Amino acid sequence: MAKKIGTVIHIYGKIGVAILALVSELKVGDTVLFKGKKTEFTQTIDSIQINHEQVAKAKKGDDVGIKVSQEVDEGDEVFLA
Amino acid sequence: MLNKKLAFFEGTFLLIGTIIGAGYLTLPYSFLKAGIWSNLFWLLFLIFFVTLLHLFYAEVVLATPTRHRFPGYVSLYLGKVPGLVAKTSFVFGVFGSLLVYLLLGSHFFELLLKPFLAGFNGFWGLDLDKSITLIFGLAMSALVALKINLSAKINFFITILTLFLFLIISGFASLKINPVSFLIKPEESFFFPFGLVLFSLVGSLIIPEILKFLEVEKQDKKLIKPIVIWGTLIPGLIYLFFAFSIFGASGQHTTKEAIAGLSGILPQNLVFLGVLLAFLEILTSYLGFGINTVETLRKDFNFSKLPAKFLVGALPLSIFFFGASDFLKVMGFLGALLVALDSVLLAKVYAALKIRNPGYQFQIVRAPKALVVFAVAVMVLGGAFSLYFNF
Repeated sequence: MAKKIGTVIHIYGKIGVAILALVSELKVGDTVLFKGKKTEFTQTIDSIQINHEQVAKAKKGDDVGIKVSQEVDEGDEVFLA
Repeated sequence: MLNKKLAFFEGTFLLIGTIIGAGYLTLPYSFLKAGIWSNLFWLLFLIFFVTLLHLFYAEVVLATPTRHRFPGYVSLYLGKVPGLVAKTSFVFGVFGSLLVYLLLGSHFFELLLKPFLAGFNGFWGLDLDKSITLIFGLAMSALVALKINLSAKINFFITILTLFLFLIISGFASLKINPVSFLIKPEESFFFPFGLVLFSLVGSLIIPEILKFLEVEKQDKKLIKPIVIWGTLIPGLIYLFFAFSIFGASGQHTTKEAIAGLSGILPQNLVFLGVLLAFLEILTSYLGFGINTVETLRKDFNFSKLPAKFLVGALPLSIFFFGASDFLKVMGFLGALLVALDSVLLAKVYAALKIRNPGYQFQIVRAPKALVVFAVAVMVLGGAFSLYFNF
């Protein structure tokens, strides 16, 4: 079973960006799996933002912004692939 | 990662696409009712102030590490009561906008159906307007409840196509301008255009998203400044061209939704296409906005699914049946009251940034205090006078 690292809590639909609430560490370069009712795809994390700043990694408890390659929904879960 | 130029264009386009909605369709009629000079004055004056307010909002979003909607920022910086005022304004604004979509959508629906409506005078004792609004409203409510909308890409395509067609229509109309139009004596007050222009120009909702876009594309945050300036100026100039040409060509026959009055002046097919595209644009905006409102009611106001869907469908229709049936008045009222109120709160939040965060260095716009006070005064006085004279 893949390790869950967070949940999508907000979407900026027009620009394809999701805000994740992390329950585990996330790094630039990680490959993650988005899974939800209508969602299932994997992608590599190109960049992570916390509080308007670029970071290389984020920890449990952070809310992070990441660019998503396909449409996601609020509530979708994110796993380390 | 995009290069700087592409990021600038994409950001500017996001803002233009958000600002240009349905409000501008009323501007040629505003030219007819309040005269060219008051309209020119408010358009130019408010382009400046709305740009400033958009910049203030960008500054507020960047200065605050946590993510909020506008009422959240007001609560954070100004306290509970102003926060509650902002939240109330937000709720009224959302349902007011749904009402505008309902009224404008059914108006265009009626224009499209006109050739097939000979002999039909309504049903259940309702007149034609009310019957059509009821049918349109119920159909939209059902689609919103079922979450049926076109894909984001098709919606975007319709927006571009509509804008493009309206520029062509304005271009044709500009060739048919009759100078006599500009001699028509205004009937309404100098403040008539205030609410309509403000309603048509504001697009602050998208500012946090554009900032997030710059972040994920690893662009300099300061790029938001030219994006906001151009992204507000271009819609303003398009409005000027649109209103000037359509009113100039239609004169006394200018209609509230701008297009129908062009029959007999422009080729009939072009006018029909304009009505059709405007209808599609309003319909898709209505669906997108309605579906979003259901989600907002559920997430931020703890409504369960069914009551949220019922409210989004039933409330605008109920307000219509209680007598709010003129989209021009509704837009003018929303602009003069709610947009002006939000603008005052925003200027006050901006002014509070330095007080709440001593030593804070402005990143986007460093406005002198006098300018902030002036912006507040314009919104308070403009809003108050237009409510007094027009309602």
